[in-house]
Amino acid sequence: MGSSSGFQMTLQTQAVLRVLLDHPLQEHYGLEISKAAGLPSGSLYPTMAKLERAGWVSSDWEQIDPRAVGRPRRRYYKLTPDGAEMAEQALAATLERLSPQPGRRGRLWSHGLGPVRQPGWGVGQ
Amino acid sequence: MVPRARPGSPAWMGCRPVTVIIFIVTVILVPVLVGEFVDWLPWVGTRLIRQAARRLPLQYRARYEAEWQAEFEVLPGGKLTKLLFGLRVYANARSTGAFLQAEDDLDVAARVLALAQQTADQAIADARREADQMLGRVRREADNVLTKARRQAEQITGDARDRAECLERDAQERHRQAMGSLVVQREELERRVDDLRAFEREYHCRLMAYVESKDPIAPRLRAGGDLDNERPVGSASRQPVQQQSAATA
Repeated sequence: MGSSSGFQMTLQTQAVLRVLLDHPLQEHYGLEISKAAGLPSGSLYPTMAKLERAGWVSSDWEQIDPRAVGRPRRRYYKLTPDGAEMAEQALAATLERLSPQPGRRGRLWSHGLGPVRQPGWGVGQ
Repeated sequence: MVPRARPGSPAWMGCRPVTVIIFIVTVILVPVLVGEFVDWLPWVGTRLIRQAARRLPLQYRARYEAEWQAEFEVLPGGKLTKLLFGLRVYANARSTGAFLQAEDDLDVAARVLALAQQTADQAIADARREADQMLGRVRREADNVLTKARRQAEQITGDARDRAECLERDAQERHRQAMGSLVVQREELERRVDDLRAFEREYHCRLMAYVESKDPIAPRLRAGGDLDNERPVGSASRQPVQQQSAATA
Protein backbone atom coordinates (compact mmCIF):
# COMPACT_ATOMS: atom_id res chain seq x y z
CA MET A 1 0.00 0.00 0.00
CA GLY A 2 1.20 3.46 -0.70
CA SER A 3 2.69 5.75 1.77
CA SER A 4 0.35 8.70 1.50
CA SER A 5 -1.64 10.86 -0.79
CA GLY A 6 1.45 12.86 -1.58
CA PHE A 7 0.67 13.35 -5.25
CA GLN A 8 -0.46 16.49 -6.98
CA MET A 9 -4.13 16.88 -7.76
CA THR A 10 -3.59 17.57 -11.46
CA LEU A 11 -6.40 18.04 -13.94
CA GLN A 12 -5.76 14.54 -15.25
CA THR A 13 -6.02 13.10 -11.73
CA GLN A 14 -9.22 15.02 -11.11
CA ALA A 15 -10.70 13.73 -14.34
CA VAL A 16 -9.82 10.15 -13.46
CA LEU A 17 -11.25 10.51 -9.96
CA ARG A 18 -14.48 11.94 -11.31
CA VAL A 19 -14.83 8.97 -13.64
CA LEU A 20 -14.22 6.55 -10.80
CA LEU A 21 -16.56 8.43 -8.46
CA ASP A 22 -19.37 8.34 -10.99
CA HIS A 23 -19.53 4.58 -10.41
CA PRO A 24 -17.59 3.99 -7.23
CA LEU A 25 -18.58 0.35 -6.92
CA GLN A 26 -17.85 -0.54 -10.51
CA GLU A 27 -14.53 -1.82 -11.82
CA HIS A 28 -12.92 0.03 -14.72
CA TYR A 29 -10.09 -0.88 -17.07
CA GLY A 30 -7.61 1.58 -18.47
CA LEU A 31 -9.06 2.25 -21.91
CA GLU A 32 -12.50 2.72 -20.41
CA ILE A 33 -11.22 5.28 -17.91
CA SER A 34 -9.19 7.07 -20.61
CA LYS A 35 -12.18 7.33 -22.87
CA ALA A 36 -14.53 8.51 -20.12
CA ALA A 37 -12.01 11.03 -18.80
CA GLY A 38 -11.19 12.31 -22.26
CA LEU A 39 -7.52 11.41 -21.93
CA PRO A 40 -5.27 10.13 -24.72
CA SER A 41 -4.86 6.37 -24.55
CA GLY A 42 -1.55 5.38 -23.06
CA SER A 43 -1.18 8.47 -20.87
CA LEU A 44 -3.36 7.21 -18.04
CA TYR A 45 -1.03 4.77 -16.32
CA PRO A 46 1.20 7.11 -14.28
CA THR A 47 -1.92 8.57 -12.70
CA MET A 48 -3.33 5.13 -11.94
CA ALA A 49 0.01 4.02 -10.49
CA LYS A 50 0.07 7.03 -8.15
CA LEU A 51 -3.54 6.51 -7.07
CA GLU A 52 -2.91 2.83 -6.49
CA ARG A 53 0.26 3.46 -4.48
CA ALA A 54 -1.59 6.04 -2.41
CA GLY A 55 -4.24 3.47 -1.56
CA TRP A 56 -7.07 5.33 -3.18
CA VAL A 57 -7.47 2.71 -5.91
CA SER A 58 -7.05 -1.04 -5.95
CA SER A 59 -6.52 -3.17 -9.04
CA ASP A 60 -6.89 -6.78 -9.93
CA TRP A 61 -6.76 -8.98 -12.97
CA GLU A 62 -9.93 -9.90 -14.81
CA GLN A 63 -11.12 -13.37 -13.93
CA ILE A 64 -11.52 -14.89 -17.39
CA ASP A 65 -9.94 -17.51 -19.60
CA PRO A 66 -8.09 -15.51 -22.28
CA ARG A 67 -8.29 -18.39 -24.79
CA ALA A 68 -12.00 -18.76 -24.31
CA VAL A 69 -12.69 -15.04 -24.57
CA GLY A 70 -10.16 -14.44 -27.32
CA ARG A 71 -8.37 -11.51 -25.68
CA PRO A 72 -5.89 -11.01 -22.86
CA ARG A 73 -7.00 -10.37 -19.33
CA ARG A 74 -7.65 -6.76 -18.41
CA ARG A 75 -6.42 -5.00 -15.34
CA TYR A 76 -9.43 -3.60 -13.50
CA TYR A 77 -9.29 -0.58 -11.20
CA LYS A 78 -11.69 0.25 -8.39
CA LEU A 79 -11.89 2.93 -5.71
CA THR A 80 -11.22 1.74 -2.20
CA PRO A 81 -13.65 2.90 0.51
CA ASP A 82 -11.05 5.22 1.99
CA GLY A 83 -10.01 6.30 -1.48
CA ALA A 84 -13.58 7.21 -2.38
CA GLU A 85 -13.91 9.34 0.74
CA MET A 86 -10.57 11.05 0.22
CA ALA A 87 -11.30 11.59 -3.48
CA GLU A 88 -14.57 13.27 -2.58
CA GLN A 89 -12.81 15.53 -0.11
CA ALA A 90 -9.95 16.32 -2.49
CA LEU A 91 -12.27 17.21 -5.35
CA ALA A 92 -14.44 19.28 -3.04
CA ALA A 93 -11.37 21.14 -1.76
CA THR A 94 -10.16 21.71 -5.30
CA LEU A 95 -13.49 23.04 -6.38
CA GLU A 96 -13.69 25.21 -3.31
CA ARG A 97 -10.27 26.62 -4.08
CA LEU A 98 -10.97 27.18 -7.73
CA SER A 99 -14.43 28.69 -7.28
CA PRO A 100 -14.43 30.88 -4.19
CA GLN A 101 -17.43 32.92 -5.36
CA PRO A 102 -20.53 32.07 -3.31
CA GLY A 103 -22.81 31.80 -6.31
CA ARG A 104 -20.49 29.52 -8.29
CA ARG A 105 -20.83 25.90 -7.37
CA GLY A 106 -19.15 22.91 -8.83
CA ARG A 107 -20.50 19.63 -9.91
CA LEU A 108 -20.17 18.04 -6.49
CA TRP A 109 -22.43 20.67 -5.00
CA SER A 110 -25.03 19.88 -7.59
CA HIS A 111 -24.88 16.24 -6.42
CA GLY A 112 -25.21 17.29 -2.80
CA LEU A 113 -21.61 16.29 -1.99
CA GLY A 114 -20.36 19.73 -1.05
CA PRO A 115 -20.23 21.19 2.46
CA VAL A 116 -23.65 21.89 3.89
CA ARG A 117 -24.10 25.57 4.57
CA GLN A 118 -26.14 26.34 7.63
CA PRO A 119 -28.64 29.21 7.62
CA GLY A 120 -26.99 32.39 8.70
CA TRP A 121 -23.58 31.55 7.27
CA GLY A 122 -22.00 34.42 5.42
CA VAL A 123 -24.18 37.01 7.10
CA GLY A 124 -22.33 40.28 7.20
CA GLN A 125 -19.76 39.17 4.63
CA MET B 1 15.53 13.78 -77.36
CA VAL B 2 12.27 12.08 -76.62
CA PRO B 3 11.84 8.73 -78.33
CA ARG B 4 8.74 8.47 -80.28
CA ALA B 5 6.49 5.51 -80.20
CA ARG B 6 6.39 3.38 -83.16
CA PRO B 7 3.15 3.22 -85.05
CA GLY B 8 1.01 0.39 -83.66
CA SER B 9 2.87 0.09 -80.35
CA PRO B 10 1.38 1.10 -76.86
CA ALA B 11 1.57 4.75 -75.81
CA TRP B 12 3.93 4.19 -72.92
CA MET B 13 6.45 2.76 -75.28
CA GLY B 14 7.16 6.31 -76.25
CA CYS B 15 7.98 7.44 -72.65
CA ARG B 16 11.45 7.94 -71.29
CA PRO B 17 12.89 5.20 -69.08
CA VAL B 18 13.16 7.63 -66.12
CA THR B 19 9.53 8.43 -66.38
CA VAL B 20 8.71 4.79 -66.44
CA ILE B 21 10.85 4.19 -63.41
CA ILE B 22 9.24 7.08 -61.54
CA PHE B 23 5.86 5.76 -62.53
CA ILE B 24 6.70 2.29 -61.33
CA VAL B 25 8.11 3.59 -58.02
CA THR B 26 5.14 5.86 -57.43
CA VAL B 27 2.42 3.50 -58.39
CA ILE B 28 3.82 0.19 -57.17
CA LEU B 29 6.72 0.48 -54.76
CA VAL B 30 5.53 3.39 -52.61
CA PRO B 31 2.18 1.79 -51.80
CA VAL B 32 3.92 -1.46 -51.14
CA LEU B 33 6.45 0.19 -48.87
CA VAL B 34 3.79 2.26 -47.12
CA GLY B 35 1.70 -0.84 -46.64
CA GLU B 36 4.71 -2.68 -45.32
CA PHE B 37 5.52 0.20 -42.97
CA VAL B 38 1.95 0.39 -41.73
CA ASP B 39 1.91 -3.34 -41.18
CA TRP B 40 5.00 -2.96 -39.04
CA LEU B 41 3.42 -0.27 -36.84
CA PRO B 42 1.76 -2.71 -34.39
CA TRP B 43 5.04 -4.55 -34.04
CA VAL B 44 6.74 -1.25 -33.30
CA GLY B 45 4.03 -0.47 -30.74
CA THR B 46 4.59 -3.83 -29.09
CA ARG B 47 8.32 -3.23 -28.98
CA LEU B 48 7.71 0.21 -27.49
CA ILE B 49 5.52 -1.31 -24.77
CA ARG B 50 8.19 -3.86 -24.01
CA GLN B 51 10.85 -1.18 -23.84
CA ALA B 52 8.54 0.94 -21.68
CA ALA B 53 8.12 -1.94 -19.25
CA ARG B 54 11.91 -2.14 -18.94
CA ARG B 55 11.88 1.42 -17.62
CA LEU B 56 9.93 0.27 -14.59
CA PRO B 57 11.36 -1.37 -11.47
CA LEU B 58 11.83 -5.08 -11.99
CA GLN B 59 8.94 -6.20 -9.85
CA TYR B 60 6.43 -4.12 -11.85
CA ARG B 61 7.55 -4.97 -15.37
CA ALA B 62 5.54 -8.15 -15.95
CA ARG B 63 2.33 -6.70 -14.51
CA TYR B 64 2.39 -3.44 -16.45
CA GLU B 65 3.59 -5.03 -19.71
CA ALA B 66 0.73 -7.52 -19.55
CA GLU B 67 -1.74 -4.74 -18.77
CA TRP B 68 -0.48 -2.53 -21.57
CA GLN B 69 -0.36 -5.38 -24.06
CA ALA B 70 -3.92 -6.39 -23.17
CA GLU B 71 -5.20 -2.90 -23.84
CA PHE B 72 -2.96 -2.55 -26.89
CA GLU B 73 -4.52 -5.58 -28.54
CA VAL B 74 -8.11 -4.42 -28.08
CA LEU B 75 -7.33 -0.81 -28.85
CA PRO B 76 -9.99 0.64 -31.14
CA GLY B 77 -8.67 2.33 -34.26
CA GLY B 78 -6.02 1.55 -36.81
CA LYS B 79 -2.39 0.65 -36.72
CA LEU B 80 -1.32 4.25 -36.33
CA THR B 81 -3.43 4.44 -33.15
CA LYS B 82 -1.57 1.45 -31.79
CA LEU B 83 1.72 3.15 -32.56
CA LEU B 84 0.60 6.31 -30.79
CA PHE B 85 -0.50 4.20 -27.81
CA GLY B 86 2.93 2.60 -27.66
CA LEU B 87 4.64 5.97 -27.98
CA ARG B 88 2.57 7.47 -25.12
CA VAL B 89 3.18 4.48 -22.92
CA TYR B 90 6.90 4.65 -23.64
CA ALA B 91 6.99 8.40 -23.02
CA ASN B 92 5.23 8.10 -19.65
CA ALA B 93 7.06 4.98 -18.50
CA ARG B 94 10.08 6.89 -17.21
CA SER B 95 8.06 9.05 -14.82
CA THR B 96 5.98 6.05 -13.77
CA GLY B 97 9.11 4.04 -13.08
CA ALA B 98 10.70 6.90 -11.12
CA PHE B 99 7.56 7.29 -9.04
CA LEU B 100 7.27 3.57 -8.31
CA GLN B 101 10.97 3.37 -7.46
CA ALA B 102 10.68 6.34 -5.12
CA GLU B 103 7.65 4.82 -3.43
CA ASP B 104 9.43 1.50 -3.08
CA ASP B 105 12.44 3.28 -1.60
CA LEU B 106 10.13 5.01 0.86
CA ASP B 107 8.54 1.68 1.75
CA VAL B 108 11.97 0.11 2.22
CA ALA B 109 13.05 3.06 4.35
CA ALA B 110 9.85 2.78 6.38
CA ARG B 111 10.38 -0.94 6.83
CA VAL B 112 14.00 -0.40 7.84
CA LEU B 113 12.90 2.30 10.25
CA ALA B 114 10.19 0.06 11.66
CA LEU B 115 12.68 -2.79 11.98
CA ALA B 116 15.16 -0.48 13.67
CA GLN B 117 12.44 0.75 16.00
CA GLN B 118 11.40 -2.82 16.73
CA THR B 119 15.01 -3.79 17.36
CA ALA B 120 15.48 -0.79 19.62
CA ASP B 121 12.28 -1.61 21.51
CA GLN B 122 13.41 -5.20 21.86
CA ALA B 123 16.82 -4.09 23.07
CA ILE B 124 15.23 -1.73 25.57
CA ALA B 125 12.89 -4.47 26.78
CA ASP B 126 15.81 -6.91 27.09
CA ALA B 127 17.88 -4.32 28.91
CA ARG B 128 15.02 -3.58 31.29
CA ARG B 129 14.39 -7.26 31.91
CA GLU B 130 18.09 -7.85 32.46
CA ALA B 131 18.28 -4.82 34.74
CA ASP B 132 15.29 -6.11 36.71
CA GLN B 133 16.90 -9.52 37.00
CA MET B 134 20.19 -7.96 38.03
CA LEU B 135 18.42 -5.72 40.51
CA GLY B 136 16.59 -8.70 41.99
CA ARG B 137 19.81 -10.65 42.17
CA VAL B 138 21.62 -7.75 43.80
CA ARG B 139 18.77 -7.26 46.25
CA ARG B 140 18.83 -10.93 47.17
CA GLU B 141 22.59 -10.80 47.60
CA ALA B 142 22.27 -7.62 49.63
CA ASP B 143 19.60 -9.25 51.79
CA ASN B 144 21.83 -12.28 52.27
CA VAL B 145 24.80 -10.11 53.14
CA LEU B 146 22.67 -8.02 55.47
CA THR B 147 21.21 -11.09 57.12
CA LYS B 148 24.67 -12.58 57.50
CA ALA B 149 26.02 -9.30 58.86
CA ARG B 150 23.14 -9.04 61.31
CA ARG B 151 23.72 -12.58 62.41
CA GLN B 152 27.42 -11.91 62.83
CA ALA B 153 26.66 -8.66 64.60
CA GLU B 154 24.28 -10.43 66.94
CA GLN B 155 26.87 -13.08 67.52
CA ILE B 156 29.58 -10.50 68.13
CA THR B 157 27.24 -8.57 70.38
CA GLY B 158 26.36 -11.72 72.28
CA ASP B 159 30.00 -12.66 72.60
CA ALA B 160 30.84 -9.14 73.71
CA ARG B 161 27.99 -9.19 76.18
CA ASP B 162 29.12 -12.54 77.52
CA ARG B 163 32.66 -11.30 77.72
CA ALA B 164 31.54 -8.10 79.39
CA GLU B 165 29.52 -10.07 81.88
CA CYS B 166 32.49 -12.29 82.46
CA LEU B 167 34.74 -9.28 82.90
CA GLU B 168 32.19 -7.71 85.19
CA ARG B 169 32.01 -10.85 87.22
CA ASP B 170 35.82 -10.96 87.36
CA ALA B 171 35.91 -7.31 88.33
CA GLN B 172 33.28 -7.83 90.95
CA GLU B 173 35.17 -10.85 92.20
CA ARG B 174 38.40 -8.89 92.29
CA HIS B 175 36.60 -6.02 93.95
CA ARG B 176 35.11 -8.36 96.43
CA GLN B 177 38.43 -9.96 96.99
CA ALA B 178 40.20 -6.61 97.23
CA MET B 179 37.53 -5.20 99.50
CA GLY B 180 37.66 -8.38 101.61
CA SER B 181 41.41 -8.08 102.08
CA LEU B 182 41.09 -4.39 102.87
CA VAL B 183 38.48 -5.17 105.49
CA VAL B 184 40.75 -7.80 106.93
CA GLN B 185 43.67 -5.38 106.90
CA ARG B 186 41.47 -2.69 108.40
CA GLU B 187 40.29 -5.01 111.10
CA GLU B 188 43.90 -6.02 111.67
CA LEU B 189 44.96 -2.39 111.82
CA GLU B 190 42.05 -1.50 114.08
CA ARG B 191 42.96 -4.40 116.28
CA ARG B 192 46.55 -3.16 116.42
CA VAL B 193 45.36 0.35 117.11
CA ASP B 194 43.24 -1.01 119.94
CA ASP B 195 46.20 -2.96 121.20
CA LEU B 196 48.36 0.12 121.02
CA ARG B 197 45.75 2.20 122.77
CA ALA B 198 45.43 -0.44 125.45
CA PHE B 199 49.21 -0.52 125.72
CA GLU B 200 49.30 3.23 125.91
CA ARG B 201 46.70 3.33 128.64
CA GLU B 202 48.44 0.65 130.55
CA TYR B 203 51.80 2.33 130.02
CA HIS B 204 50.35 5.64 131.00
CA CYS B 205 48.88 4.15 134.14
CA ARG B 206 52.12 2.48 135.04
CA LEU B 207 54.01 5.60 134.24
CA MET B 208 51.74 7.67 136.40
CA ALA B 209 52.02 5.19 139.19
CA TYR B 210 55.79 5.28 138.90
CA VAL B 211 55.94 9.02 138.70
CA GLU B 212 53.65 9.44 141.67
CA SER B 213 55.81 7.17 143.64
CA LYS B 214 59.00 9.03 142.77
CA ASP B 215 58.18 12.62 141.79
CA PRO B 216 56.81 15.29 144.11
CA ILE B 217 54.92 17.01 141.35
CA ALA B 218 52.80 14.01 140.74
CA PRO B 219 49.65 15.51 142.21
CA ARG B 220 49.72 18.20 139.57
CA LEU B 221 50.08 15.56 136.89
CA ARG B 222 47.11 13.76 138.26
CA ALA B 223 45.19 17.08 138.21
CA GLY B 224 45.90 17.40 134.44
CA GLY B 225 48.91 19.73 134.47
CA ASP B 226 51.48 20.04 131.74
CA LEU B 227 54.32 17.87 132.78
CA ASP B 228 56.37 18.47 129.61
CA ASN B 229 56.50 22.22 130.13
CA GLU B 230 57.95 21.74 133.56
CA ARG B 231 60.45 19.08 132.62
CA PRO B 232 63.57 19.66 130.60
CA VAL B 233 63.75 18.49 127.03
CA GLY B 234 65.18 15.00 126.56
CA SER B 235 64.09 13.81 129.99
CA ALA B 236 62.81 10.33 130.84
CA SER B 237 59.18 11.16 129.98
CA ARG B 238 59.85 10.56 126.25
CA GLN B 239 61.26 7.12 126.66
CA PRO B 240 57.99 5.19 126.61
CA VAL B 241 57.12 6.72 123.21
CA GLN B 242 60.36 5.50 121.81
CA GLN B 243 59.71 2.08 123.29
CA GLN B 244 56.20 2.09 121.73
CA SER B 245 57.64 2.89 118.26
CA ALA B 246 60.11 0.11 118.60
CA ALA B 247 57.38 -2.28 119.64
CA THR B 248 55.22 -1.27 116.67
CA ALA B 249 58.09 -1.84 114.22
